[in-house]
Amino acid sequence: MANDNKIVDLQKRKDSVMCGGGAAAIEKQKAMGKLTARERIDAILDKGSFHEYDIFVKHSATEFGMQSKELAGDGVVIGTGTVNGKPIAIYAQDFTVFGGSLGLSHARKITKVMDYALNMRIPLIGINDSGGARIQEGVNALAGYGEIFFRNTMASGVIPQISVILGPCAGGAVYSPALTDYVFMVDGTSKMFITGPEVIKTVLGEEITMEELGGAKVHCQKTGNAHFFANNEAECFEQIRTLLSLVPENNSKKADTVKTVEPKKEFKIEAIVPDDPTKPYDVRDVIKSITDDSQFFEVMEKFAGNIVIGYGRVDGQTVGFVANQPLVMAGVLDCDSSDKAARFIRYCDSFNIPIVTLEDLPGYLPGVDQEHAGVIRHGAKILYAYSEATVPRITVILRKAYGGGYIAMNSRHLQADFVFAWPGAEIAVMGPEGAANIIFRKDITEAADPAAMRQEKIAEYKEKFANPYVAAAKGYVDAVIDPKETREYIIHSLKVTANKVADRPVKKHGLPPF
Amino acid sequence: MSKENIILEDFHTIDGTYSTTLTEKFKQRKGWERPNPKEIYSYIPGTITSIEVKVGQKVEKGETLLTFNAMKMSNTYGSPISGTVAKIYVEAGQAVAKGIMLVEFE
Repeated sequence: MANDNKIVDLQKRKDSVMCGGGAAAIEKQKAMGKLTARERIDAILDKGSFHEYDIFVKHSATEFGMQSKELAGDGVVIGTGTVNGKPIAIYAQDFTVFGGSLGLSHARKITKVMDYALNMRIPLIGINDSGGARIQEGVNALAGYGEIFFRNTMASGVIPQISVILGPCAGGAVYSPALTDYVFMVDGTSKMFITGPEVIKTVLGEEITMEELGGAKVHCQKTGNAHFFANNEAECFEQIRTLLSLVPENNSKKADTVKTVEPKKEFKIEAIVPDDPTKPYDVRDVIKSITDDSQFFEVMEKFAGNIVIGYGRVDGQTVGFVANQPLVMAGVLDCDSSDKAARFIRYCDSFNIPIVTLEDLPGYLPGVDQEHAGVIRHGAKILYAYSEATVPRITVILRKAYGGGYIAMNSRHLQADFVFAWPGAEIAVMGPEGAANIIFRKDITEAADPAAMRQEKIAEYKEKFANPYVAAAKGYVDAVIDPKETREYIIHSLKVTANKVADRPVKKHGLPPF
Repeated sequence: MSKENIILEDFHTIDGTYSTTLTEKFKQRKGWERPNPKEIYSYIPGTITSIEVKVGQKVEKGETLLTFNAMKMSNTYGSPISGTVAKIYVEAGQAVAKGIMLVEFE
């Protein structure tokens, strides 16, 4: 064929790009326990589904000796492929090419694939492994970051955006992950910070390693900047595939429904929650006694453990769970747990995922540190997120529901669709001890035996008010149910709410407390 | 969290005492103390460039105590009170983090 030579030529050109930064750079990458950009893409996507674009793109920088520099693909790999059979757009920075540094052409490749993702309404995955801005390209590098941030913001709430940090991600570069929905990090590999250890040492004399400053543990446990922690890249990629199987590909669709599987027999819902409201239990066991096959995919597992969020399927349908965790800090709401829950509620609402709230909390965490950290503003986020959400919202009150916490956790008053309570639920303006001390202060102080009187009044309050029937008498609770009926009630509620319409006033956008 | 090595602790609230686990953040929180106006702390990380007062010196409110560079800018610490300098904790050229005691008044 006449074109044979041209096809050989094409292959040759392709081969020269495919070896990235060359054998030595790849070896260095491997020595750090890291895969190359294309290996990572292949590992995340369905086998053989990756189609790469823009492999022949070149940079146009001329200063500082750049005109003689050939950078394979300008240090980034872009393309489309499928995950679980469904299309996605993906880019991966190639650290072996000039440290994966971001110049104008590099950024344009990224924004191109972001535009594809948004226009085609398919999820976007961005793999970050870059030394940062390509200093030689000056303000053009900054322009590139800005164009990425704008697109992240435009795509927010329209398509799922996933950031995977698999190397350094420093300076301005961190703001792209921060603007996306979910950030995945790998222990020992991922690093995110605004100013690095060297700057900190120069300015402050404080010595800290990159890992200690912005490693996976730091961001998954301490800062809440990342949502998924993995021990290695393979585990991280499995998490990404699981997440994508649970969420829809854009905000006009619902997540895929799969065949229903009953929860596992070992999770006995009626045996998990102790009667004594001061005794802890793991609320994840309650979730697993409700979900199909007892599967629960937890989000932000290591951050603000006093609230549990994540996905499970009920009757084959993806549901977002928000649950107070009595096992950690008695399940109180505080700044961090409010932030964590509120953002998750907004995510579920954006992507048509019904929310099931499991409630058992003593209220908000007291303390000067909390008040001065702005717990008013942070706590308000939960109220805002629930009130704003138009997806089906179902609440099950397992045990304690006191005070502000009762209102915040998707109460009837925030227009929950269904509120159920277990017979042991204590729905009251505050806990019996606190309430008795205030209401019966005079009786207690003037009694011959104040301690005995206090106990008597606590018991009296408990009997009269710390139960689900006062709220049920007002219709604030729709049904008091046997714990064993919980899954059945949730399945029925999901059916009833499937065509829910909740109108909201027209506005440009609301002003949620940030 | 693996369920085997959970250590339950008491957590006190006005509604009684709960048995639960406590987070590191909660355990490491600092108790609140009313700030002492006689102690001057750094409010931004930076490098001290000069000390403008001496121990024992009487200083008027607003008078410059020391100068420093932070975030590519030169700046000064003015005295928030009138009083006598008791102790100076830093010297010119020293890099200081945020929240470090710089000067103490009598």
